[in-house]
Amino acid sequence: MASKFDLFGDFEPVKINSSMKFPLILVLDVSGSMTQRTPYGRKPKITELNEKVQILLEFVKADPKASQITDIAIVTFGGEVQVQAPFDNVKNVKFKPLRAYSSTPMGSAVNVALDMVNRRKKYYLDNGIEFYRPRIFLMSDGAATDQYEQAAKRCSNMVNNREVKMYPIWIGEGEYDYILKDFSPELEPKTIKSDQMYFEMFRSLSGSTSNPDDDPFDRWFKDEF
Amino acid sequence: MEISKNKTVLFLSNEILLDDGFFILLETIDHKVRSFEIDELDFRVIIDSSIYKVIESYQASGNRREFKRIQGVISILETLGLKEEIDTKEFIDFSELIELKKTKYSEFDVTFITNLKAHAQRSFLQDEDELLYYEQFIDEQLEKWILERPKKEVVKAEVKETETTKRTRKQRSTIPKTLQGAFHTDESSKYITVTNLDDINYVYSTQFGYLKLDKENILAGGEGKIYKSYDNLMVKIYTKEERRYELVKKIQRMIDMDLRNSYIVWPKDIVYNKNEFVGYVMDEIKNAEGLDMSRIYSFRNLLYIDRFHICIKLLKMTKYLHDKAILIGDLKFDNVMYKESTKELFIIDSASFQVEDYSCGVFNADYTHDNLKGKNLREVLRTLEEEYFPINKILFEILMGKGPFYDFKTGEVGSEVERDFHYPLEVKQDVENKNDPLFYWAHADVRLRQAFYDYFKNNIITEVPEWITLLEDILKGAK
Repeated sequence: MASKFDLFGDFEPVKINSSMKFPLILVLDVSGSMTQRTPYGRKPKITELNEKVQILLEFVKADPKASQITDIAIVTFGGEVQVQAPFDNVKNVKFKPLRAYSSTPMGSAVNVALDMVNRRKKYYLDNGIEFYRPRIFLMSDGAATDQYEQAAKRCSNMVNNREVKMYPIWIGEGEYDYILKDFSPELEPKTIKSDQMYFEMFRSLSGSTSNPDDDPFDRWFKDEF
Repeated sequence: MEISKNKTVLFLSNEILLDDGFFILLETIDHKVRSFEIDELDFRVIIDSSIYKVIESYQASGNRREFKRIQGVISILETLGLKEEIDTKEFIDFSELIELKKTKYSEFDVTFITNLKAHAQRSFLQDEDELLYYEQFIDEQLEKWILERPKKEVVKAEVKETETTKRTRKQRSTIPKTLQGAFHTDESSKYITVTNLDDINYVYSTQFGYLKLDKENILAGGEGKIYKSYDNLMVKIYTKEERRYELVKKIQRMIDMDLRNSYIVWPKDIVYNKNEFVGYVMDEIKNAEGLDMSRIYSFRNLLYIDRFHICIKLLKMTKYLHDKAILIGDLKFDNVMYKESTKELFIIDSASFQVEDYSCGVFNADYTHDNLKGKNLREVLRTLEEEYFPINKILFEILMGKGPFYDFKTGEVGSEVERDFHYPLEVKQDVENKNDPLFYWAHADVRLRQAFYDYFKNNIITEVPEWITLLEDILKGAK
């Protein structure tokens, strides 16, 4: 078919929004146990988490490339599931410090997160936006208190079908709780054992938002340094 | 070891001076020299000048036994008149030893005694004519080292033989056929320097003098950091782990080359911190931005005609380098800078290029040929065929706005996506929405579509000069 457009003549450069996206959803445990301290840390876990998320958001907003391509969403679970921030460009994400209380409905939270991921992917596809495989950052310090099996199975299927990447992080006592593993058929959950490790995790996560091809967070998670 | 038969030179690695086996050997030598069984002029013992640093460090750390032992050995050698010294830059550069064997000690058996395989191996690789012997102490006895030269790895791109490939196969490779394995040191070998990157505030260049590093203006990278300095100069400082012997040699070789293209940001001089190699100095490119920033806007922030000019400039620089047997290697948008005000294009990070048999050890998974996946790229030399992968992917993304492996069913990109080419040679439907991933493809010159289709679908390479001609032809035809 002969083209009716002359690419050389018809178009001026346009300021469009980035048409390439790095979607990241933080699924965070804010149950009652998060008010306790970690064995290595000096602050309550929830305070530590609030600080780290704030630093992450500030870093991503300040980086010229990361701030354009990073879409972030935040879902919390503590007593109930709350969408703290729906998927949006990081510059529009408003973060209010999280408060910790009550039970650990991890399964429901992951279900909500997966729905959000699917909606976001459809939005990208409908608008011709390229995107890197969405990352779910699931962090918890306790066993799920809801009927999580269905959500874990759904999540595993999506990971196996290469629709999403799941990074489970354990900040509880001892080695990780085995429930986290049920959500992650590919990667063993990672246990945070020190302040240094906690810091490196968020630093590498920031690095991935400005350079998804290199993906320092993925390498950190897999101990590939 | 039969020490009286032939004229003998022993070159000792530092740790040998503490080896009990050597001490026993030294007693025998001492006895034979004193009893005139051997002439001291027929028997020489060479030590490395770095031994004095070792002595100092033993003294400083209070290891009196080791300190006295090494001093004792050295004074025995001096008393017997056997001692000589050379400098191998801490067992990195054995040229002085090899040269001695060829000249002053051509009549002698020269044996390098070391208990460290890395030392023996490194010397052996430099000792191409195998002039030296290599021995170690095992249970106080000297034993030969079994050393091998690395198998030369031949990496070949699998280009399917079709009529078209045969047509384009003419004289493709400018990379000399003799260079097949990369020159590299092994992982166990020591790095050149130890000073932490962040502890360095000034560096010294023989050409530019002292250069202050502007710690407020830092570009971070995988191998180190880049700082602004005086006079539009920038300084790249490598992390400790990257400051390897082959890197110094490579950068020195690059500086010695006659390269006259101001758009390829080339090392101007090596820089030192307290006589330690730490990096190099280069020109600063002002008011330019990495093309990765345009990539995220599908290049719609630039005029279509400028996108063509960018491709042509990039291809011409690539050709210039290929003609000099240099491959860019880690070719990706981050390493290409565009200055919109003057429409100039620059290639940066040249010290990572593959130059002669110095490899390009870095890569970006998304822009690396499948052949190179999972290889230790410090040891492997890339081929010209493999460079065509990033060339085609970059040209495609500049001209079509999307990745060549964009999956129209999922919309996903990145190195985890299967490398399948989903763009149809002929577009059946009418594509009018500029956000449609097919838009630029659908309305592109058919010759352009054909060249990309050939490469990504059928592995047929359009060579760099042919690409330049094609793009210039299309531009001539444009209104």
